[in-house]
Amino acid sequence: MRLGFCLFLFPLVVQSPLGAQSAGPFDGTNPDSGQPGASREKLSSGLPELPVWSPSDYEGVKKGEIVAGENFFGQATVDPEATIEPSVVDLPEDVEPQPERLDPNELVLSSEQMAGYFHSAPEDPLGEVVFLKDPQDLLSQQEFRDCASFLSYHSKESEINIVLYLFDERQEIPEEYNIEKVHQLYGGLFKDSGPVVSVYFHLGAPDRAQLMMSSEIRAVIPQDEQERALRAAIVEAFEKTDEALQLDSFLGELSTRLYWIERELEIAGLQEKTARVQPVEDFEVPEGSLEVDNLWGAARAGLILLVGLGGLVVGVFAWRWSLRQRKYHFPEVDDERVFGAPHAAGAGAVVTFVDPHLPPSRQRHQEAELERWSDS
Amino acid sequence: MKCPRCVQRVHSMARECPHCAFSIRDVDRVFGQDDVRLRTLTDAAGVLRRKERIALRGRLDQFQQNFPQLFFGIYFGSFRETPSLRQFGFWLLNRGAFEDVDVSRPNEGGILLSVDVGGKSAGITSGYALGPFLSEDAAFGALSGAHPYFLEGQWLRASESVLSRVTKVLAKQSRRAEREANELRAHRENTGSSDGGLRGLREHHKGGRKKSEA
Repeated sequence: MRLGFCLFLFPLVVQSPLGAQSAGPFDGTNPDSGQPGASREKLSSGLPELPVWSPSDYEGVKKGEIVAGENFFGQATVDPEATIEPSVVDLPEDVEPQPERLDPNELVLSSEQMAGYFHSAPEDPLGEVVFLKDPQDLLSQQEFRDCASFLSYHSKESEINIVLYLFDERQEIPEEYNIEKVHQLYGGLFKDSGPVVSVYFHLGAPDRAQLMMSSEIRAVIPQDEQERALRAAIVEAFEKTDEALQLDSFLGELSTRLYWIERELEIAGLQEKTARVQPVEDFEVPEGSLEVDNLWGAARAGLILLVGLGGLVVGVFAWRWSLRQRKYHFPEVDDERVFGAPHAAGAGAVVTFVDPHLPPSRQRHQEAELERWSDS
Repeated sequence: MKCPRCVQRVHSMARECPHCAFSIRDVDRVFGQDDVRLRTLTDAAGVLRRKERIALRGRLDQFQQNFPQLFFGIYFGSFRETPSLRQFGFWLLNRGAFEDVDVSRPNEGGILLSVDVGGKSAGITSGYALGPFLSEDAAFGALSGAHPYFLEGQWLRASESVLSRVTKVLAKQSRRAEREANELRAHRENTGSSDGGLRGLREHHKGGRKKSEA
């Protein structure tokens, strides 16, 4: 195989200029012999012909009059006035396509389209409430499932549900479906779900989002705080460029904001319950009812504790008093007199306390005292 | 019962110790055979402050209230030569005439805590009436409880500790003695109402007689 490849390349090497030079001196009879095809190819390409060695050049090289490659290191021989043909043509710049002009009337959603959003509370095949309404299928199936799943998760974690209505970027909503009116008319669709926040979100245009909270939230949370929550969600959405990601960011931030609103609702609800329990005639200063109640409860508990402690102390004293007053009697014992002693006999018990490191049992004195002992 | 000098067991009717020939005459020769007048709290060593003496007298009075037959005496002394606190306590309880103790409480019902402050020893001696109720081990237990206070020279607290422990022991022994006395009385009443045991023996003897007569 290798031998065949070498035999194939041999004639090409012999016929090339390098091969000619290496084969022996140039004969000068026909410098272009053997290259008629290449010349034709060069001519057909439209480029100028390459320079060709003449016999006199060859003689000059042999004599040293001509140095090969001398022109490369000499002064420039390129004519600055020379022009390259054909001349460069400026191409027209790309121009952004003009937005498609649509008739404003075509952007307004029809009543039939809007009815698709509000005809009933959306439910999934399993019967669970879906808090995402996209009858125009603006989201892909996967995006729809992701978004609906997040809203469902939020609904389980929070007392305030988010009901999201999706519209296209430039779609206009009819006046009769203004979010405030819709909330009043169709808020009952989610009345079993507790407090609701309705959101109109235009895919690709987060700044057009609208938000409406149900009446029980609005009764506690001021309007500017609601607007702050909406603005924060919009700003968060603009952090992304993709429409679906914008929607994710928007909902994530809104869910966080609703958590704090929910806390405020809980505090307000607790205070309302406390105020409801207090009988009106009981408190003279209604705003201090909680403190009065706590004070009274603490006083009552303290009183009970005091009475209990007092009873305990009295009981202990009574027990000790009864012990102190108790009489202990012993039966009379007829003992014989020992050692001639009239009242007492026996060795008794003696302990020394000389060494603090020894226990009393090691310092019990039981040795015989046979030596005579005298008092001072 | 043990001999105060040789600590050997002796018979309850022995006039002198069979081992060392100890009798009260031996200690009388040392301390005197006449009665000595003293109070239940005697601080011959001068180790108690006035407040401590008052407090301790209160405790001793309380003891006498609880035990109408008994009294508790405390003697703080300091002896120069080799101490024999056991013999001293024996002598003092036999020859002591306690001024602040009613004559209805003889020394047989007395308990004496004698403390040798210089010799660093303390002993308890009790009268004949307390022989069955305050054993030597119980007395030593009371001294052991007060041992830390003795070591630190807290004489008031040591005395209170001994007094408290002795009170507990005696109260317990009193309840036990009362219970046993009731049982004995009930047993006597039962045996007095029915003499079945004797009858059985007589019947047995009768039978025997009959058999012998036959």
